[in-house]
Amino acid sequence: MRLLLFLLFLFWLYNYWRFTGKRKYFKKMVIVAEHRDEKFKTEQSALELASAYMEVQRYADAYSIFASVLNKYRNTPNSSDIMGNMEFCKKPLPWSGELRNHKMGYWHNFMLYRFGGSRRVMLSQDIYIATDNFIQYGHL
Amino acid sequence: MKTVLLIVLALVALFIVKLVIARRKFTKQWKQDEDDALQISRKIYESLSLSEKYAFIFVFDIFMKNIRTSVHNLAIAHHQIEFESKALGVTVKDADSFFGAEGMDRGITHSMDILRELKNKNRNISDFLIYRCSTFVEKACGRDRQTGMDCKEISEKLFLRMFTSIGYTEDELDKIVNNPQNLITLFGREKLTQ
Repeated sequence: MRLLLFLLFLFWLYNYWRFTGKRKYFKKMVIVAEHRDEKFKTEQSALELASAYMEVQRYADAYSIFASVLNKYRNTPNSSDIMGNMEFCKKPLPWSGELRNHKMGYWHNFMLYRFGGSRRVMLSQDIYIATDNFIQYGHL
Repeated sequence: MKTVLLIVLALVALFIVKLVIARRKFTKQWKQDEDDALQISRKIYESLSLSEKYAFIFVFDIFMKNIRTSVHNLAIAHHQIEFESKALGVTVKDADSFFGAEGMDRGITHSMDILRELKNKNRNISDFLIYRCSTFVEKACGRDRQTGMDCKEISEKLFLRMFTSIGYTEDELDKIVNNPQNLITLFGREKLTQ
């Protein structure tokens, strides 16, 4: 029994370690997405920024960017996905109250995987490559 | 003996109640003033883009680093930067990592480019930034750990170099710093300058 508990603890520790890695990665991705959005100022870059915010649980920021995209590009083919994401930002978990930014905590992430609402993460391969480069070289 | 003790206890309790009431009364007024000021600031800043907001906070933070020895000045500066960060809706950490991602030198150049564009687009907000930074320069104190130079001197030089590089003349800077009444009339935020 003790061995089983110890193994469970080790499993949790491994998962937590994986999560901290993911958290670090997406925080770097937010910086990259902000720079790309400032440089390109396109719908895709804005959606990528909003999606990156969504990944780091900054729901209020993501919501305002999704809303600004809908406002700026009225005939966008992504409108249904954007609206779905806005709904998700308002209520990421069934018991979530108001729209606000979280601090990317482990517990929220754990719950999000199990009970989180549906959303569409709109991150292109380019932004993953740019983030990898940023991590590798230490600067953009 | 017992009655004396009871009277003393009652007096102490009364004193504490009075203190609590006075404090609540004071903080309520103070909080209300701050909320009003925050609403005004949010309205002013709402037209700024994300990178412009980051540039504002980044510049404030650069000047705040030159306030070193006076706890009083440091507390005021901390409060000020927290207030601006709330009004802008971005944190100091985010701003630092945004410009830090390019390397410090390129980050500073980038922030100056953003401010130069802002100056051409909306000069009033740019003037306001200068006025705000001048309050940080006034509070600068202590000596730099690496060079041993006076922080006030560093701050003044930085202020002059930074804002002349985005296109202000020394006379214009003097005018903005010494006559903030124009800005106060323009933005209607007399509460913030108290």
